[in-house]
Amino acid sequence: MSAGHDSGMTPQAAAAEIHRTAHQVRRRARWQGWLFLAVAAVNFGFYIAVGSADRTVSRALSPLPILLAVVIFLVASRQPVVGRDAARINKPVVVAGLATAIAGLVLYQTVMPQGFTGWLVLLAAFMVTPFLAGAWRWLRP
Amino acid sequence: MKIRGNHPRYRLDEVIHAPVRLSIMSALAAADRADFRFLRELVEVSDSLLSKHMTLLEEAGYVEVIKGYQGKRPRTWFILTDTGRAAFDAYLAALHEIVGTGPSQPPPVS
Repeated sequence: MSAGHDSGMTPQAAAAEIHRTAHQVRRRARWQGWLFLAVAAVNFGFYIAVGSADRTVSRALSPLPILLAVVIFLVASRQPVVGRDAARINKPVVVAGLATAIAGLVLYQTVMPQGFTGWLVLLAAFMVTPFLAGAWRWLRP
Repeated sequence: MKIRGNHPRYRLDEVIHAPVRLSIMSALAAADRADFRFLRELVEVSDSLLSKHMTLLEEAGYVEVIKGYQGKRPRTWFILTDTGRAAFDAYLAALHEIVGTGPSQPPPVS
């Protein structure tokens, strides 16, 4: 498979092409970071709204996470490129996001003051931290 | 008489060291998977030329082809196999040796 042949491409040109294509692929794979950022923003708003609203409004908002999951699936399935190590990066983010959501719910129900308080904002921020970390991982320069 | 020397250029895999295939391999090395249309636009070649090179890479065991549908539209995905990734890493090592940069350094752009 190897030879000292001449393909008409200098090693410098080959190195430059590798650099160009890898850069393009990484740029196009950044959608995963924007998706995590959107999930963090929507979830943050959702947690605040559910935590500060009355039971009727909370119940009305409850299908939102399912709707969000469907949107994520549709957006992800339409993307032309999936970045390197996506499974290795995204799975821990999703698992940590679920874990902080459960931990946040337990905290809110047991020790936190009910209704809209500064604590609720802090708790909501904590609950979306994994998604912000995931976004940073994909969007960092 | 065929001469085979120690120069790193003899370690440049000829399956990879062709302009279109190099672009494809380096794109797939930076991704978990990429679809046909994306690669065609990235490499700037026709459908038939991309298919031809993909067949060569598939026959070499470097690329895996996954065919599916998005709605009613057929869609083809490409993934670098473990063999392909190892071959590309070896190619990169030889290339860096020739151009005199380490694997972590950006290659010089002429």
